[in-house]
Amino acid sequence: MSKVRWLVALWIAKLIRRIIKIFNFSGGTALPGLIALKIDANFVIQAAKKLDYSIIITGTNGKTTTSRMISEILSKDSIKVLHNRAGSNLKRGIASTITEKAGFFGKLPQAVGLWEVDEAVMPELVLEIQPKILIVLNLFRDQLDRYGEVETIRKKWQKGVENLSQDSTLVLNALDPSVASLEKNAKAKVISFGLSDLNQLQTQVARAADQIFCPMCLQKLDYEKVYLSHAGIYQCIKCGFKTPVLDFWAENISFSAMSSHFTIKRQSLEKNINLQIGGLYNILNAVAAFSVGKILNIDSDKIKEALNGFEAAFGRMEKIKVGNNFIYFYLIKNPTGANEVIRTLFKDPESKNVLLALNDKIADGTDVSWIWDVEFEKLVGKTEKLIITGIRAYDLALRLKYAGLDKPNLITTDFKKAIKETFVLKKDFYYLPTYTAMLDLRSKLTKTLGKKQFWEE
Amino acid sequence: MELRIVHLYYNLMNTYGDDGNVICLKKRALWRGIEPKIKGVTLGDQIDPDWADIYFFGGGQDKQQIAVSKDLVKVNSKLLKETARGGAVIFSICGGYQLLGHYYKPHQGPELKGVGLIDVTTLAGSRRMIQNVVLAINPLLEIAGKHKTLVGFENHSGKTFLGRDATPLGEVILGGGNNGEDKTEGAFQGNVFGCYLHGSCLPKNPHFADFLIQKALKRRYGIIELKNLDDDLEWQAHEAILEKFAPNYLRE
Repeated sequence: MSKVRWLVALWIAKLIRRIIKIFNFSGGTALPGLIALKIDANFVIQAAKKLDYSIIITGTNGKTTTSRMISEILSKDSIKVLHNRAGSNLKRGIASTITEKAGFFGKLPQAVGLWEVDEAVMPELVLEIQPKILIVLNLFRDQLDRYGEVETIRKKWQKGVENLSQDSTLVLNALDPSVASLEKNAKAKVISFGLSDLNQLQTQVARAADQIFCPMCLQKLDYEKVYLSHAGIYQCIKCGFKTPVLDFWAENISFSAMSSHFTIKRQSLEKNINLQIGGLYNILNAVAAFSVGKILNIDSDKIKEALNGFEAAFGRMEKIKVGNNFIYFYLIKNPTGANEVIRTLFKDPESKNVLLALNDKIADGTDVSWIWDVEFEKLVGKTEKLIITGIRAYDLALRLKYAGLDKPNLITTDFKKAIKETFVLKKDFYYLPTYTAMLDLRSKLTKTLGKKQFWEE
Repeated sequence: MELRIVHLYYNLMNTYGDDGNVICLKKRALWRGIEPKIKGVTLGDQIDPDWADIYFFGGGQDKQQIAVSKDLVKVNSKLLKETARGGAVIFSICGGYQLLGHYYKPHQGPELKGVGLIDVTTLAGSRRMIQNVVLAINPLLEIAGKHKTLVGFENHSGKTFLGRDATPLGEVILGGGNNGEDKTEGAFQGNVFGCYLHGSCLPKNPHFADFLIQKALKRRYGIIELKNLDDDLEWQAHEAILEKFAPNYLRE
């Protein structure tokens, strides 16, 4: 009976997908999944059983990039991957992906499920999917209009980790105390990843740091130094909780806006990686992906090859050619993410042409207060041409005024006008949008440039 | 002339972008040739009640708020009362506002003791109020500006109720306000102010920012006429919210 119900759910969802396609409704990607779950509440549970195994990845920042890295690594080993797309990381999004990829009789051609999962739904999905590997990247303040508090998420994660069976592996970012503390609740085997490079350490914990108390005993944490935000070398004097010993780590690190070089290590293992994307946070993502590859016994050189050939994910350090120039997309969505993008982009002294875009739709977070936690002060003297856009353009322009930046060349809530203005200069431009602003900018760019030209690069 | 600012528990009560208020006070002083001086106070530090002209106390998470409450009880509660009596201004938001009241009563566990500088009490609620807020400023305050509204974003489950000695900062046009029941938002008592407006609050409410700055300077310099600043952008940010949620108030 349950099989029949599952198939009916699949068929109706497939039908709806077809209708959406025919009538070209936009934004309906999660709808088939939603319907499938309405018909069969166990839709995801049943589908997960058809797969060899699943991998779940969660965290505030880096889910999309890291899961794409893992996907590349698995592909290099000829493992077929079923992967949900960015932006559909709720349960319905996962169900949607399944309804799309499953055959008419419910056969799933892919062998492994790779699921990037929203922070708040991780516990439920761990219970339903019973993944072989669960990766937790980091926990920073983000979308507090949805979650209320950062600590709420950490408590949910503790439950999620308890739901993980002892045959599974839990991959944790050791540098983030909120994440590392999850080990305590785990029956599963724990693998810790991180960085080990004195040159990349900063003496000051960021203004937007969230975990400055010991998650175990609430004593104030002692930070020796940090790599980014509150991720670093910490210790609790009261209960002894401290940065765990690393199983996998990166050292000899150098990075720019466009690329990074480092060595990934584990005991006797040592691989030099040249990543075609920049940023310290992406190095950390690469170490996480590397450890997953090794947990699955994939050959180190294959992993290395996959990482070296990795290209940026949708809207994350993407580059688009316009005439003889490039537009570089860097998604910014919360204080830590934005701070790290700024740190990476404005490392070198030369100034850049920058477009910043702030939206306040649900996927961006309806509260824009977070821009006051971003260290935009670091942009002073580093922008050539500056354009501010998005639904909340004036809030953002105000933030930049108080950060001490010169008056922008243009402030407009009209994306089209903003894009046009960036074309006038005929120079490279850096676009730093929030999530839905990124979608808006891309679709307007497509219209302006014509699809063909747009996708050439 | 200088404006001395103390940022209370700056590294704990800072989750919701409230630091923008300190940035705002600092810049608006600086742009007028007034030298801003900022000190941070955190766990274990002792407030110097004679030093500051204005205190800022922002919002934090439950865990942080508990730690701060415990620290306040030691000695800083008493010192804050002393400094308020001396004419210093205290401006607080969300968790900071709650802690300046008598107490915060959670669903479970003991009451969190507050400073008792504003006659308000806060009870844990079952529904979190998370949304944009527009309020009509209490005319008693005589805050002059282009608009008679304040705009911001609330994110709290605590319900705050005003006692007899506290006066509401304004009347809710949009949002839940103090408790989602009586249409009030924020409170003041003498020179002590509290509200639930994140956003950050002061940058896009420049009339309120200047009102607080003027009050703060009064302690050491008497009544000072503040130089006008170019606030076009501030009002544009303010008006963008009015336009969306309270268009009637835009025309006034």
